[in-house]
Amino acid sequence: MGGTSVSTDRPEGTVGAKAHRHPNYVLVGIVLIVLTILEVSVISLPVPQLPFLLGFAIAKGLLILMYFMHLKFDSRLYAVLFAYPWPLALLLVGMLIWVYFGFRA
Amino acid sequence: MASHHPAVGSEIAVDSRKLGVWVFLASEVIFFASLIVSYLVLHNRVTSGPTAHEALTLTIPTINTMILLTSSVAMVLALAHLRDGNRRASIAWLLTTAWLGICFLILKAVEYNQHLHEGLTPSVNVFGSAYYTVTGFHAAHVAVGVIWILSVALGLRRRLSPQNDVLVETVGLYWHFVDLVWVAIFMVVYLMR
Amino acid sequence: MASSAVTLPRVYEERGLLSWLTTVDHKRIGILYILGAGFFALIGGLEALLIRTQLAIPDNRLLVGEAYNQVLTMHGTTMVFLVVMPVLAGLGNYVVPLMIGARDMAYPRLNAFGVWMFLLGGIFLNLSFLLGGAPDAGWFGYAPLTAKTFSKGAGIDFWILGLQLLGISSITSSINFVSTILLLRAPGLTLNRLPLFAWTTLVTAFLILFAMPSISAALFLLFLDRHLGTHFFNPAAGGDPLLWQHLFWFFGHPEVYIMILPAMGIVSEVLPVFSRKPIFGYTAVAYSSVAIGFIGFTVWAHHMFAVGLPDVVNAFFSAASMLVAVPTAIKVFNWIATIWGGSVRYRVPFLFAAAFVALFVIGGLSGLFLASVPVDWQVTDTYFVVAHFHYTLFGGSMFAIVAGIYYWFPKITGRFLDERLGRLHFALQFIGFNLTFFPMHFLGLMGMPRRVYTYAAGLGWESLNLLATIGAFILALGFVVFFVNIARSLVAGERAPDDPWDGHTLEWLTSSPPPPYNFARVPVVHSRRPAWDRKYTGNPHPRPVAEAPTAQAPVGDGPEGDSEAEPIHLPAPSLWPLILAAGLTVFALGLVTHWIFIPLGLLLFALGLARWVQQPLFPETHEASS
Repeated sequence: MGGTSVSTDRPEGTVGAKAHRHPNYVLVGIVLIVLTILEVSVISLPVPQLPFLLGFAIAKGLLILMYFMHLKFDSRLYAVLFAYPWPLALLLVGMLIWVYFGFRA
Repeated sequence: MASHHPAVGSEIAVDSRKLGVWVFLASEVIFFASLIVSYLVLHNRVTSGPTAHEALTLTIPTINTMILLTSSVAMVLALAHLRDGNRRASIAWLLTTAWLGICFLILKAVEYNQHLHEGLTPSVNVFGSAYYTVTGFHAAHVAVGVIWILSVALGLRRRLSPQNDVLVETVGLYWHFVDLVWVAIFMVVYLMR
Repeated sequence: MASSAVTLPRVYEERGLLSWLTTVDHKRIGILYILGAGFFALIGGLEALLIRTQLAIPDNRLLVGEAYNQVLTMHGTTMVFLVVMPVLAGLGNYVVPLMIGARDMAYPRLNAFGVWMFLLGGIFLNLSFLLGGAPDAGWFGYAPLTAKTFSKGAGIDFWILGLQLLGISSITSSINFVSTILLLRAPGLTLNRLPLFAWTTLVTAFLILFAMPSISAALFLLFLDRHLGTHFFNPAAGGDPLLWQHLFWFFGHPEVYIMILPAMGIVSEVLPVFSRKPIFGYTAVAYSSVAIGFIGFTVWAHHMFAVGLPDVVNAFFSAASMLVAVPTAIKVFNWIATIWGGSVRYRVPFLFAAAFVALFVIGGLSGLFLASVPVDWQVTDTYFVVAHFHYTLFGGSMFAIVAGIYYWFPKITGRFLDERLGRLHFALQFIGFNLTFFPMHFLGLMGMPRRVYTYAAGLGWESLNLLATIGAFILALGFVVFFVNIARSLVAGERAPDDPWDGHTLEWLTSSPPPPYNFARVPVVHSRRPAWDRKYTGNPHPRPVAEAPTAQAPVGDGPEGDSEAEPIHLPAPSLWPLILAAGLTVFALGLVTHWIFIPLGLLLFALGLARWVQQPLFPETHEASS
């Protein structure tokens, strides 16, 4: 890419971080699997489904984003960029749910 | 080989290839949101043919969820090993990830086959249309991911330096994103049927 | 310190067709976008003249029914996707890296891929005329008219696939702009000092990234409905034609901001330079652009007021649509305040940019009318709407685009466009435009519907339609003058210096045209008007306009404190982006014509992709000799 000449001995995010301990990815994976088991269990329980399912899904998503996709450790720019479309997506989904389901006679 | 690139004029150390992938994934959020919302608003407007409740079972999708989650662990372990300088372990974990992705696709094909035999096709009713489209686009993304991972693994076998971790990291981001989308689809299509 | 001259290997100096086909230089890519857009503008303009000629008199039989619908659809689709968007992308491609002191875009080969995708996609779309008929369901392709049962021919498929190809181009281009503007700015060029054209390019890139996936999804669904028997938009089987409208307009409304924001950016560059003042309220203008970009996503259903959504839903969208007028008005007031009290030079770029402000305000006002639901119910689908969007998209975007071309032509070509021809062009375009579109407000209020190929005599619509047609031909004459001006100036225009307009921003610090590497030394930036300040402010060695610093001037350790001489890496030319784009286009062709093109296209695609990733981006290092 264009731009100034670059020294390649400074890979991103590694100022002193090269020696950082990796998070325990396997542990995160186990938590994700447990959450999935909980999700599947919840649907046979007589509880309001949506809050639980949404909660579990969001938890799983955040774990994947933070740990596997390293958002917790990387430059905030990535998180900001990835966060940008979510209000728009929520607007689209929310508005259509409202229009299609919110006005049943 | 294109070089890493600290941002000029600012203090952020950001790799332009990673940034590009994150930006692309951000746009994919809207793409899948559009497909998922189409599924949401249409899937129970059926007057004939199988409904979601009748046609969908949880066994295969749940296994597939476990498979994808495990594959994400494998993927991030591949990156970690590469960062620690262990190229061979990294390649092994990459191949594991790809293999798990293939398992996902095989099970998906089995599931589709089941559905087709039970009369659920894309054209039988709008639920069929929406179901195959949402899950089909996701599966296509998985397939692309598998090919991408395999080519990165192949490339790693030939030339390696610690800077190539960006190659692995970018395919990893894509792969985890596909896993993320599945988390949403699993909930919306299967758990909320 | 000795002057530094940069020597490059021959490959970067090459002329000839192959050098253009393999270019990854943002400047050449920008020129390709602009030339391509110019070519498609001729086609789209011809389509417009056909429409106006047909409508000049009642009960005309020149262009009727199906044929009229094709011309109408292609006029809209062409102007939106093949003219306005690409020319803005082209100007952005050429100018933005220079403005931020970069040597190229962040992903040069992806950039090349984008322009080939545009050119091939545009050709693909227009091939429909020769291969069974152009799409004829309007540029917005409403279901169920676009369903297979009502549109049996391949025209709609050309439309679907053409837009997908063009969408790929836009998305890749936007990823490039985001990374480039965020990461490749010169030292000292904080976001707070970013030129406003770069700001609007950045905001627009995000709009494209978050709007296009929605239409892409909708287009996939439509294609599936047409060819795999799915029922997304088939009400008989539970589908909903309104879903198409929601998904389309979720894209479609941000799309119009995609078309206007960069144009506003151009105006924000031109007005200050020709008023010899900085832009008034830089921060407000920048934030307003961001606000417009965001609010633009919340108003889509104002295109659907008449479909029967619940009142409270309509009210939400009506309020949001009125809200977007606020940041827009802020910008208008800032532009006026910029000119006010300035030492104005009434050169041609200024004329077009100033006209933009006036004409866009008119368009915005009619938009405000349309934002009111009861008014919209009366005038929707009439020529009032046609007047509105032509005032904003032509009086707005197109006028600003022309301003930008007159402004940056000297930089791109090293020659001025002729000033007198430019004034003639302006007069014809201004008069022709208003004569064409102002009467349409009244036609709409009198009830003349849109998208009809004729109208009966005796309704009182004759004279205004005739007036509009005359205006259209005057407008066309203006464009003839424009193209003649361009052609003549390319060959024999007055030579332009590095800084012909006494400009403010970094692109004026290098030669006209710039060398392939843009700047021998990356300039260091200390303010919002780096070029201006080097000339006039606090600089112990000010240079008069005629001798503005060039790439060859010794500025290394001087007062401007430019960066050290450094090895310059330029990416190698590459054929593979073109091959990749060709592969996708051939694949699409296979889906609408003969199936043999499908494997052919995939093969080309695979070949292009494999060779692309194998080819290193940079060949060797080139030292700046001193």
